[in-house]
Amino acid sequence: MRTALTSLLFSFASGCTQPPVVELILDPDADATGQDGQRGPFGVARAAYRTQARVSDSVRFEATWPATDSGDLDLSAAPYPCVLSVQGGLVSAERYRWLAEHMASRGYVVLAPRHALKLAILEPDNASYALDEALERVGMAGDPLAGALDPDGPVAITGHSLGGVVAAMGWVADPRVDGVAILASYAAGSTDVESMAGSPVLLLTGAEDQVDPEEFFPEWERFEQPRWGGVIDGMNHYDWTDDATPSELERDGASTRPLDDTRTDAWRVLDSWLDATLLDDPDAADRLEAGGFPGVEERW
Amino acid sequence: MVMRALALTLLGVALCLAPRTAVADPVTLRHGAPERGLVFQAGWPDVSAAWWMGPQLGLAVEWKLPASAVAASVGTRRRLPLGSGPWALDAFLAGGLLVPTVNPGLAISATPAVQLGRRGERFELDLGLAMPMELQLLTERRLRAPLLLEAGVGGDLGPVALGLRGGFGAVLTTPGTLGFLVQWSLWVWVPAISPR
Repeated sequence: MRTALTSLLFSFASGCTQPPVVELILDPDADATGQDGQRGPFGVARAAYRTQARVSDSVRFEATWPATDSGDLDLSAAPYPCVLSVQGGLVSAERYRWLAEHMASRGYVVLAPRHALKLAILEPDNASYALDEALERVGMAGDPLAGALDPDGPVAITGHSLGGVVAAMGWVADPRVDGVAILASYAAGSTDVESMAGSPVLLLTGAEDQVDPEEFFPEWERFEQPRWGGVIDGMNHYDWTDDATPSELERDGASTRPLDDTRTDAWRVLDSWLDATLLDDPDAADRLEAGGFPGVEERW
Repeated sequence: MVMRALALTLLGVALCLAPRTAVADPVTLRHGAPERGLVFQAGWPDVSAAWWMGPQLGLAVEWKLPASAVAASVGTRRRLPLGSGPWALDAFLAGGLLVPTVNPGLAISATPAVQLGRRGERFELDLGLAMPMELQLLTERRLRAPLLLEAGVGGDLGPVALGLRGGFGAVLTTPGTLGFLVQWSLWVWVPAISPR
């Protein structure tokens, strides 16, 4: 009994020092271009981390990175830009892994913090704590994230639904964040988005979202330039998440196109916006400027 | 003996079910201690135990799961009866040391609280405000200042007392943004055994 208790206490107390378990998700694919809404050439691996927050609290987050076929960070193009991903209300962060895996395959490190009760609004600064910890880890030899990020490198934040509301808050509050991508959402009235003129904004929603896109547009008008807004044809609210439940689908609009098609259409825009915002890719900026993305009705 | 076993079982179940997040808050120094004795409290998001040495002095330890922090506190309370009935106004003050354990550091905590409650012999209920504040001193300077609105009910069950409390409030952390906090917990009070 005493041995078991000692072991239990030790495992709790030493949890912070144990190396994270790395999971290889995708093998590298040298033929993948990462263009036209398709995956990129990098392999993808992830690990779970935990960091101290708000003095006595702690935040769990999942890091997903461009990897070799062994799951190690692919150092060939490191350091990578960083994307912070904020979960929607009452939706587990795991249901957004498809977003993180796609972005990591194209050369982004994605940090996805968890939030109490799956309500990001309760802990709106968790993404910043995750970024703090990741930036600490990039300097630690032997850590899976060692060398993954530049401490002064570009950072974007994205969030779906309630996560979009919180992503906008993080974009305004954290000066390290260079742009925000809001999916099927808008900013809270108390978030001072007007002060962020010059910082890129992407606003996307689905034509079949449970909230009529027409209701989003007046809220989107609050964002200053440069901004890009669009509506994905046939996409509903929970097409942005994996494994939608029957009750979620019951109150959502009905998707009118296959999920793979709507997500590919969304990726063409999101990939271009990330490449233009975080990599200063002139071709991506030209694509955004030219518009004409298939399956997307542009708002601006 | 049966009731103590029940209390320990409840504590064990709550420990197993407790979520993977926590705050520092010596809840046991303002709930579940009608008189001298032991109080165990478990729920969301913390677990704590207190030893009320007398009607006005208590010691508590808190465990912030999963090993987010450990803390020790000392607390006191004063009761102001409102007339001759069961209603009373209680004031609590607790302070202590806290050690964050994910990224080790040191903090001090202070928790002022007030409760308006019905303090019957077999049943009690209360409504109150609490501010379980923390000031981190080492590694970085950070203040966490929640303001919680709390409600609780409790009652005697044989020789022990059981209760339920819930709280909701805003949390200001400096430097940082405003967040929110939801708490609930079960508490069990076990009377002290006087040496013969």
